[in-house]
Amino acid sequence: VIRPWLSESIRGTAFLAVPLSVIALIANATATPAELRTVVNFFVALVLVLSIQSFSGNSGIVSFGHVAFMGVGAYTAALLTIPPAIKSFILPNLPSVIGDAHVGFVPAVLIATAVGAFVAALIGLPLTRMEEGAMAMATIGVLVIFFVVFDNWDAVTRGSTGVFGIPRHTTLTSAVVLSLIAIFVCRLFRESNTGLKLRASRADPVAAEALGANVVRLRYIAWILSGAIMGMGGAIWAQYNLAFDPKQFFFTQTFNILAMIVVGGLASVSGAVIGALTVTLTTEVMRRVEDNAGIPGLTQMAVALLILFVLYRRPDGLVGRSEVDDLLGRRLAWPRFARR
Amino acid sequence: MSSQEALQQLINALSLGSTYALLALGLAMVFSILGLVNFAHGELVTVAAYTIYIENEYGLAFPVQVISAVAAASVAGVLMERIAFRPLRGASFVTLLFSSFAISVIIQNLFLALVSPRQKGVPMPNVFNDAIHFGGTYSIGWLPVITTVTCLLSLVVLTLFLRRSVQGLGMLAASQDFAVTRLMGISANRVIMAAFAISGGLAGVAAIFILARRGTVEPTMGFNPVLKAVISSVIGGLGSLSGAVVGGFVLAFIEVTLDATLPIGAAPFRDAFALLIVVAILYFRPEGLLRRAVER
Repeated sequence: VIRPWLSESIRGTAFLAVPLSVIALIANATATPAELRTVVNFFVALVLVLSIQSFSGNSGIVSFGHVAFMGVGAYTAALLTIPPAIKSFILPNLPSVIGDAHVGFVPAVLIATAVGAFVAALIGLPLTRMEEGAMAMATIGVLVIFFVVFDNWDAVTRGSTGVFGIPRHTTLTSAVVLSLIAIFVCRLFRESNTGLKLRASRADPVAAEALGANVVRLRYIAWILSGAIMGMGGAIWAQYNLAFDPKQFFFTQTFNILAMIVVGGLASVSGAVIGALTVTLTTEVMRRVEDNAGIPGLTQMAVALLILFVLYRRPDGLVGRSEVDDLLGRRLAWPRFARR
Repeated sequence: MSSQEALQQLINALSLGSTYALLALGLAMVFSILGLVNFAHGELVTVAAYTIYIENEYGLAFPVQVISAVAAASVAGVLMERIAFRPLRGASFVTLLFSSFAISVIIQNLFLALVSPRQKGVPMPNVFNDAIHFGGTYSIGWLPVITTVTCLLSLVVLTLFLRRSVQGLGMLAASQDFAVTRLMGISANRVIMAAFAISGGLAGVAAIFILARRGTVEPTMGFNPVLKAVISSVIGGLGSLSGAVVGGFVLAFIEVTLDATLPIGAAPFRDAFALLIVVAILYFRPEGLLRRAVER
């Protein structure tokens, strides 16, 4: 007998996997190189958004700091995959263990995931103890701390100049597979016992605590999980974009990812997917308009207006609180109920 | 450290702290009444700074620039509430937070599109660059002194207003319990409008000194101020007015002490160290320095 949380996670993932695979297949068959880039970047962004979903969606606490873990994953992957010859040139002061390291895609992603989880575990220790509002604010501190470190730790990150020479290991296939894994993991966590209790604490932390849920512990678990997913996202992002500097892990990136989760809806995994899709489409269209009209900032403004519009009309996001497959399941089941 | 150096650093900390205090107080005032952490608070600083920049281009007198900058920030605060936040009144913490985040980005990009994406220099009066010289080689800049005096004066005026006038008492009461205050016959819209006007005005005053320090305007210049304001108010206890002021000074003292004591190699990491100390403070007092843990 398959447990209900497992069957629901499988069903939910399958439900999202079908349209996503169709997009990937069409892109693979017909897209121009530029369009293909957009599609791969969409799947990479999906992993980043899902990371925020796994924490904020279940706990109800906003995080502005997750991009820091993306940076941790990206730098980890970069240090592991840049050929040692280039590394000895651009980062001569690196310890030889890392300087001589040269690993493939899978180990780089796995190690980055682990490092993301580890760093999140350290940071989460003080953070998850805080009251919800204060924690959301403290995550901004996390964003800044990591930015300052990336920007100044010349021996390891090459400071504000950034790193280059990362081999392009991320392909459309690997991006799709990893984003589907992320969807499955997020859905699994959402339906799990821990996820359920955490969602209860989202609705009312005091009541959840009174019923025996250790809210701080639940938040801590979700925080580490989201750190791991973010580390993975950062690793595949780095291995697709090949060169980056610390500014990539600051305010703009945070805004882009949060825009996706807000537009789609924080509370559900399908919301993250729909949000990523909507914002990517808006950005692509607006970027062309911006280029043609010659007005800088138009794209960001449009995305910000999209956020406001959604918050005014549907504060829970386009998808809302339930998963798409749950909603559809209910629709399909309803006539049978009615007949009885 | 000699006593003159100590005095210098003390003045630096006080001037920085009083700027942070003004920013944090404005943020806390809106938060305590509406439950909104206004991310676009930093953009009020930007509005004031660009007002000075534009009037400077037209050659207006400096006092006029200052007064109109404060007024512009104040009006911008009120407009922000009218246009963007009023439709969301009563929405959840997260919804409000995201909406202010979006508004902040919209305003930034408006300046970017309408003025310029690049930094623009703004010449300030010479007095800000002068220093008071003491017998020896030590001197104290006029800028930190003027900053401290002006900001403290604004705090005193605001405290008098809050404690002595009906409107002010209404706002203090609203910051503690908005629902009951409304039952006492205080108009919700007036309290909220006043909160945004004051919050904008305080940001405008702070903006003058922020501008005098950096000497340039750019669309994203509001990020650092709002960051400091948020951190200060979290140190003091989110939603506590006196806590925000205390938090501002605590943050400034941490930063100035780090500046004076960190070895040169570690100096670029100053903000990271400062925030680590803040996180450590919050680890031991998750509710902030001045806020008692209350039953919810």
